[in-house]
Amino acid sequence: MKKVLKMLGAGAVVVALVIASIVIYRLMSGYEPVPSTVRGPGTALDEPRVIDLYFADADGRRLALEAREVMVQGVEESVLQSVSELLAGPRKKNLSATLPEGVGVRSVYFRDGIAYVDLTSNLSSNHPGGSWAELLTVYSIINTITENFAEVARVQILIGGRERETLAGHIDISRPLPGRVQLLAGDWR
Amino acid sequence: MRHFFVVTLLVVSVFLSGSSMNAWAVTTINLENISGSGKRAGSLKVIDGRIDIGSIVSAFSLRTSVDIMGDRLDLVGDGGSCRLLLGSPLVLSRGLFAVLTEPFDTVNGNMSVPLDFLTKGLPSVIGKSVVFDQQKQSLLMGPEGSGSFKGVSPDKLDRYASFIQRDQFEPYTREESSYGGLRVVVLDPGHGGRSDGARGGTGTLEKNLVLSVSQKLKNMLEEDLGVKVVLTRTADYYVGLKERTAIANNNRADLFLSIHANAAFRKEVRGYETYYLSFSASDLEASQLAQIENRALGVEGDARETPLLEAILWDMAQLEFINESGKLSAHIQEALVESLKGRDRGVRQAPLAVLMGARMPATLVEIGFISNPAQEITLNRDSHQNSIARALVDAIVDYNRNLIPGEAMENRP
Repeated sequence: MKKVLKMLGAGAVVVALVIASIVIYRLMSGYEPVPSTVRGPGTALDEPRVIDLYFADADGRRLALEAREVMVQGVEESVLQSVSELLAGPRKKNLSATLPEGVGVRSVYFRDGIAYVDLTSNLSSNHPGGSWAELLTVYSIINTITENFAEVARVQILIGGRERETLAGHIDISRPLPGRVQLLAGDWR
Repeated sequence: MRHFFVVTLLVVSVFLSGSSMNAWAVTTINLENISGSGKRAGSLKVIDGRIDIGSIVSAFSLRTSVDIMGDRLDLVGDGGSCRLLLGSPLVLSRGLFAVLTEPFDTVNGNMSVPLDFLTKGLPSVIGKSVVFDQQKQSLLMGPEGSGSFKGVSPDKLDRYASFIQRDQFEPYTREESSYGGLRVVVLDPGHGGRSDGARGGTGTLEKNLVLSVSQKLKNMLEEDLGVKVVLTRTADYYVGLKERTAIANNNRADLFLSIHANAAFRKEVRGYETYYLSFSASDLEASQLAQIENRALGVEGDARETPLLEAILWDMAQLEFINESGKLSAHIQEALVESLKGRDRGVRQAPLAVLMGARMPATLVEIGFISNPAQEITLNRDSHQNSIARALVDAIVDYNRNLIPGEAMENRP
């Protein structure tokens, strides 16, 4: 008898979660009027999707892509997943990391076409510095987000929960920045 | 069409103070009535090319109000008001921003504005147009609506202003001019103090390296070209990024060169890169929108409540010089690669914080990768640092030579 009750209880929790998820999903769909590439109508909550991560090429002159599968659940979660994958570094041998080791994502927040990506403060303290390394870091993050998620037009990078002027003294990140897809072709002008 | 009545003629009398070596050049603008306007005559005090705010207030009988923070000054006169922010080149009047050639700031203990304030900010306060009459070599002030302030387009006002700025009130720099119109170069050794910059494998710090190269370059530019060189820092201390640009603006630099050493995630990466500022299409749109929105808000719109607006307009300052910045960057890159036989990683554009707001051609040069072990060793050599400095002098010479002759001669003696 106890066992049956337990199972019923667990079942009720699952049902409640599903209903809650559907309600939240409906609310979110209405909340974001922008057509979504992440979550089409009628698709399941979790679904694998292949995204392009922006790393540096071996020569260090341009950004280069590595495709990776992530589980997506709405913009914020998807952006968080993608940045986490970026932080893990490239798997391809001929690509180079664009972020220092040990950096984590504190949170991701999406509003009015802008993704706010809050990274741990060791992004600044462990960064090698130099305009080049900083340029790679900033645009690998921004391009990975703007080029995979059409609803994100600009990305605001936050460090340790705060807006900062730069990561390490060069590239202005005090404002949300748009992506630069031409960096893939090594076109830096 | 109503006639443009000349109400007041500002006769410019120049009193150069004795030795030009260490004294500030002090001039006076005397205000004289040439037709019976009833306004009393006065004078404006000009110190080192900037007008003392106090003398403007008393000469035009203005009222002032300063906010609690002490960094916002409103000037109120018969015709209206304008607002200045300490440290900012923006002047807000009639719901429009104008960008002054230098910030409103305290210089040598005097709150002062650059000379173009007379044509960009003063008209809305006194309710009279103020234009520069080239023939009479005078500023003419007319009654409201009669002529220039409403009728003259902002870009024309800018031209008047820059004419006043360069030729009328700067006799001392004109005399110092020695190298083809190049008078003041501001060099910016990157980082400093708590900001070490990039660190090499054997412990070389970018901040020390770039200071050493900057000092060598300063000596060469002064000795070879005879130009005035100002460093944004002369030792190991911290200077903010905006402060560096402000130093260049306040010194009326003809060139701003920020000197850095590079780093990459891979040790193999080496070579030279030169950067200048990039603008995205959305930046340009945003600045236009900002102007429109601000116009809608009217003069009462509080500039302090719209920091983004100010940020956008501040960034736009470099836009005017972007072609020259690109040319300067190309010359620098070419000189480094050719004379030092290094790997050419190209001229690049990026949103570099230190170049934003620079009101002159501005470039950031990366003199080599400190993260590359071989390049770290050569960068530490005194002879190599001299070669870098020499290449940069050559680049500045080439850049200056290749300026369009008409452009180069304009405003020059």
